[in-house]
Amino acid sequence: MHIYAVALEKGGVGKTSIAVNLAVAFALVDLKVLLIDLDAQCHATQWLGIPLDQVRPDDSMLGVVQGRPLADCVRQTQENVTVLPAHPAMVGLPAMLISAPNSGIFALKNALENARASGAGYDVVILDLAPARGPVQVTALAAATRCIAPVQAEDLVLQSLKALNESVDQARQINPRLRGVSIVRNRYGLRGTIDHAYDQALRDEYGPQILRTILPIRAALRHAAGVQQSVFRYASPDAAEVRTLFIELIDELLQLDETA
Amino acid sequence: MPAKTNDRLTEIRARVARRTAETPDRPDDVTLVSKQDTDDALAAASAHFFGTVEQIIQTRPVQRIPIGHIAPDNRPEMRQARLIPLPEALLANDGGIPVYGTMVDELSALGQSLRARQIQPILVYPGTSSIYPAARYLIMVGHRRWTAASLAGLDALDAVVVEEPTQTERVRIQYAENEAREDFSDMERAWALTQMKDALGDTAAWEAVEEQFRISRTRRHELTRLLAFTQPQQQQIALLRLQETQIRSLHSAVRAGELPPVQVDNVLGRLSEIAAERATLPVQNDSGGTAPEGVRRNGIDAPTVARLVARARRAAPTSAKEPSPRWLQLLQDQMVHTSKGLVRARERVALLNDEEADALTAELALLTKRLEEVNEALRQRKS
Repeated sequence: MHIYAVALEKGGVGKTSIAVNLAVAFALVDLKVLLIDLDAQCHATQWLGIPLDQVRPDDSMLGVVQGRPLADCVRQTQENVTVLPAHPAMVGLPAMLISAPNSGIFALKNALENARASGAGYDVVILDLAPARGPVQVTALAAATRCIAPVQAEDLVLQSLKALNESVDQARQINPRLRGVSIVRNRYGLRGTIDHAYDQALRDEYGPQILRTILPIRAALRHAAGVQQSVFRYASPDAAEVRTLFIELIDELLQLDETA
Repeated sequence: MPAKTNDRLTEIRARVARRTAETPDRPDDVTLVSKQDTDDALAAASAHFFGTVEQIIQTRPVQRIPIGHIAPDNRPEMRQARLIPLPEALLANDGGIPVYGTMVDELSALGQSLRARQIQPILVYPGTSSIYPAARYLIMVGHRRWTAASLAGLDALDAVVVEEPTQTERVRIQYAENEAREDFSDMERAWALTQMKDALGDTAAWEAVEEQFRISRTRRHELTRLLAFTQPQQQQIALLRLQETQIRSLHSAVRAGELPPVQVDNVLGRLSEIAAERATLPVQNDSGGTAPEGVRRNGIDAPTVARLVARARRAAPTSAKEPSPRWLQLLQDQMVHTSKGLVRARERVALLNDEEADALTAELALLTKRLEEVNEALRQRKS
């Protein structure tokens, strides 16, 4: 089972966009995919077409922490991705995790293990995280096998990347299966001298962690979110290019994990 | 999908199927070496990922404490920098303060939620209260939940008992906790800043306060400008949950001495009326019985405040105007921003190409010349 935590402590870098489209791309190669929306803003849930008014707090990670089996909470999307939806009440999730055994650090890991043991396991699990350090992030990293960080060539993003690497190093003490951070250059466009300087700094500092596939700025991704479809369902002139790039990305990740 | 992409998909599917057949998924067989290792790793992870309050709750037992045994700390030096009136004052509302109604509605909703489930315990420390003689514990974190529980008539709350904090600890922990709350207002932030400055001692520089709260100098400047209002005005601003940007035109006028206190009172009085009118709107319009929204969510926007300030300026006596020219404040604000930009630039000039570096050098030379001219003018003024 590959568990990818899409994370960065800075907002607006495209975590949900990567999480949703990666999930659909993995499903397209006949893998059993579960996307877990861990952000109380519920964007991944809505992007995959799940109406929020049909989600109760207990259908989300809140229910899982209280012992509900994953299989009772999840739902299937039209694009063949299983989703553990988020609920706005998940603003209380950090406090709930803290009160759970071991501060909830292994709550997600145990839930996924239990799902596997009961025959409802998944080949790939994608965790869509909120841009914040805290109990939810450590719970996700304690379960993950790899962290995926979407980045742009910007000062604040590079600072967040440093913080994420520190967090992942810390999490590896409790989760030896966590292989580290893979960096995906998302909405990547180098225009001015400064952009090139930050790009160079990124390559100098994090070279081996950077994935080959680069996702450029494309309207298809933004528009697909607006109609609650992945880029694989959404029809637009530049959608085909983005689909090909996501296929490349999953291929790269699978090869990386097969050789690890 | 293009043929090439389809071919790629087919190839990946075949590889994935082969791989799955070769290596069936197994349970996690990687474990930590010993219990001691696990405990150490968990402790290190907690220290890295959790905030102060979370770490306190994690390491101490949660107790069920009767509401009557808990009270806010009302000693001036230990009072929380938030405006949450006591439950009795909220219910009595002797001053006929319109916002109290909204607060009671919001707190009652929170009280009902607490009745169903209290997600996080409050933090208390042993102590007594002159207002609530039965109290055995004073609140460090959880004033709003205690008020809500009192209004809802709950018997007890989950609490974690800690030692009495130092003033610095208390302000820092309360600020960090409140900062995550949507209804924490800029006036309350400004009070917390002054509390921290007092806690750090008379000689403490503002830089030390900024460091404690991890805020920038600019942000600290923005917040402390609100302290130009009189105490009753500050209370009213906090009650209305007005943010600094909303009332920038008002505090600029106050700091420039353009408005006498009575005119400021008039503006704030009118804002209270607008807030009260807006707070009742959903009740008038919604037969479904929706609770009225809070003032901040209804939004008293900056242009509304600016219009009221302009009107008050016209009504203010001429003598009250222009003890300080308007351009001075604008210039000072610009200088704070420029200074901050220059500090950041110092670390980044290495990234510039020759052409950009030359252009910046020329701009800086001009700026230096202008600064020297103003300095000279100031020197001549003194002599």
